[in-house]
Amino acid sequence: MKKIRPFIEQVGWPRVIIAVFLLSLFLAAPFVRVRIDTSISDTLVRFGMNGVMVLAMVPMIQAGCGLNFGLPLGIIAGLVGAVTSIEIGVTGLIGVLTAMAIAVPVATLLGFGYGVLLNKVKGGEMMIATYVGFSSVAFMCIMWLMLPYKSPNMVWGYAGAGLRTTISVEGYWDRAISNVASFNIGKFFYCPTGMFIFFALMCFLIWVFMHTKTGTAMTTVGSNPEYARSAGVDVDRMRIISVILSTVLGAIGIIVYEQSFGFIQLYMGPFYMAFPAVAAILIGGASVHKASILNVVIGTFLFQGILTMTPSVINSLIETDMSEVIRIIVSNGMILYALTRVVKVRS
Amino acid sequence: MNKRMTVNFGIILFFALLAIFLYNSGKGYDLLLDNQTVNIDGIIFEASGTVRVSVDGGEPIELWIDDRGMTTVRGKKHSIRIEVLDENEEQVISSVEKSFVIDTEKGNLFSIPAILGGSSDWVIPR
Amino acid sequence: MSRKLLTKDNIQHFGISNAVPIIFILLSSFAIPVSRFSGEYLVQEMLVRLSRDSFLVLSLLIPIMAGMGLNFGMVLGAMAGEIGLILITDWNVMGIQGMALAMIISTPLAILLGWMCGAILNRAKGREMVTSFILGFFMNGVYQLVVLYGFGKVVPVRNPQLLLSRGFGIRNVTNLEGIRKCLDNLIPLSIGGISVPVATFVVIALFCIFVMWFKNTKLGQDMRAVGQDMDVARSAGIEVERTRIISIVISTVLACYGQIIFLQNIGTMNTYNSHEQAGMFAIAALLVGGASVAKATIPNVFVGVVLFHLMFVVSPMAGKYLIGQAQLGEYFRVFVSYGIIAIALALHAWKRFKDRERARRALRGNA
Repeated sequence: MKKIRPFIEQVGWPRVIIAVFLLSLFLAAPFVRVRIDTSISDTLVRFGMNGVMVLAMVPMIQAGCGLNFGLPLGIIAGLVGAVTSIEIGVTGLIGVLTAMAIAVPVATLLGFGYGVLLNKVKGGEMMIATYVGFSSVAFMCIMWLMLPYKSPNMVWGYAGAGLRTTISVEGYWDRAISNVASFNIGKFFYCPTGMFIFFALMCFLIWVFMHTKTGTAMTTVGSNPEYARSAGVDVDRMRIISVILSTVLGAIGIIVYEQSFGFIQLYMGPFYMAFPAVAAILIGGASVHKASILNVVIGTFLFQGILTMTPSVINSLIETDMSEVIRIIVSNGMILYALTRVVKVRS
Repeated sequence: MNKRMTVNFGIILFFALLAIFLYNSGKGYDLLLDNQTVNIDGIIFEASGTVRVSVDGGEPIELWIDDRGMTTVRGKKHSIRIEVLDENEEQVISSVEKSFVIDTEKGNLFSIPAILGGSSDWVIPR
Repeated sequence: MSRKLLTKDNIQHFGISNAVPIIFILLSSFAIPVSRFSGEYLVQEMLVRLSRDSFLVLSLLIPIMAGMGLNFGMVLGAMAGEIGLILITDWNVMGIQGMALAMIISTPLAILLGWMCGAILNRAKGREMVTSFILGFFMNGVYQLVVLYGFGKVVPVRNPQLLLSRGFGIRNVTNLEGIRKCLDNLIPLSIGGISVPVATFVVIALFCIFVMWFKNTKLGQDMRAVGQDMDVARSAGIEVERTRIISIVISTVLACYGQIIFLQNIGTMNTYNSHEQAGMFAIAALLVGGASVAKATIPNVFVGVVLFHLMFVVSPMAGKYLIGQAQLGEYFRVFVSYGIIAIALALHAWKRFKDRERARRALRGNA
């Protein structure tokens, strides 16, 4: 008992509660006739789908720009890439890579503008980021209607113009990354190995970047801006780099998400996508000022695990679909917890 | 501090009473007005003709024989006015006016023939 | 500092603090002729919308006074109001009595929620807005839990028209026919074919008087002191935390009444969305009126409601005639409402940041 307490305090209460909750869901699954292998497989798939988008939180948190509620900006860049690659008509792994290749420069550009804006509003980043995300999604709603895409798989049939709300990637790059070296065990278990390899690669790249000179300077800017300035680090430049990096990761993240999901969701689709990602990294143990790649991995797994398990288990347990409500309460509760805790530590 | 407690308590009491008052005076009831031949405690009241009914002086409802109408009222105390029309449905032959208090236990179906027939018991449970 | 710099600063200051209404006036003056609406129609619409939304927007004023920024937590009040409305609809209490009863029932709930919101915001000083924003989402989850699963099970609901077919949980749309326009039509008045909801405006006017009176009370003064500088206020013997909580409680209760007034005008309620929209539109309207995160006045409210809703009414039709797609106008107005909040917040943060820089520079210069 004496050992447990410090352990829990080190890991953090919310994390322990959520982990125990998830564990109990897995344990309860067989009793309510939910297949455990399907559940684990679903959890793994969703983990892979969302991992990169959660990773997109890390650079901005580390550079002291707070939680990236402006993730939709990156997502939009990713969507532009995805839609354009389909318009060109490239398929398979090359198709996904094309989409990313188009998305990254767009994201860099958007991220630069976004970074410049955030530098002007130091101290109020999170609220503004949220609304930059919201308004950019709304702006792109207009663009999706207006942009001259022509592919009959994507535009509204009757009008011949304007993109549809959901576009299937089937026949282009459906599961192109997931299926690399993927395998099935039995009928119900599917492991999207390629997605994990890709996620690991991304994590590794970020890890390497964080240990370069630029990366450490960025972390210094986040943890102690005054010290960074006196040490001759260009604070604004570091912050812009972090924002660009976050936005680019967001763009890549959404493409990974789509190739596994099978559909591109346009219009209001990306509207609330920042919140699950923010909640996931916070569940993983990050704070508003500090985040590591381990936080990303743990957080994504716990959060996506709960999202996968609650509908199936809770539904069969009480025969009501409460998953949506649980998702809202858990994710926003987690963000709320993180926001109120920081000040307490500081004061 | 004690005085403040009293004041607070008074405010709460006031609002509680106000709430009860609002509930009673604002609760809506659906009244069914029925112009069919009816048998109450063995006495048969014949529906005699077309009637024009208005509750609380509101918009009149015309009911033919065997017709049934509905109106919504607010609060418990109401008056009902019934005008019996001639065969051409133009002239008012006779009219009756009664006041009543709604009792949900008793029901909400009002028998027009029973009122016209002078019965004291013209509210029928549905 | 030279005089020239000062005037340049002043112009810049005017531009920054009034940028949003200026943009809006320009946009509307372009969009109104394009939309081909008659002046009479627009006047009627604006009157309706003023009566419908002003109260909600006014509820934001007091937390701004206390330096807590835009109270995104006003959706909590709106939720409380909606719960009151669901209950009176179930009991079938109609008319002005029903509305008053809904207000009385939801007041304690709003006070409780407001107190909770205030207590949470006290733990997140300096980031009140984002915290209250997330709190709104969080409580939306709790609201769904209560209304979708609790109503009909824990809270007795008898009216089958309210309940989902499974026997518990309130339907997506709640019909408020019983209290529809009961306040608006309490004192009927029509000028030249334009109907004026007199009673609603009387209530709004009373509330404006309340705000003006409140500013000069002891509590109001305390709030302004807290809003200016918490540390100074604390050393002056003001209970900072308590004052902040009270400001949020007042705002939440008023938002609750505002939502009830809003919904009695509409006549139907989207059980699970109405409150979210209420928050967003109220905040956007206030900012459009030229208010900032730190300063908002009563004229800001009315100017904002008119300008924002003018855009709201006009833009779909303008989009339709201009490009041939009403959908485009819809998206445009969504974009504008979010964009305006983004711009206003950014301008404010930028100004604050610049002020701080200037102060720092001045300090360095002296040293």
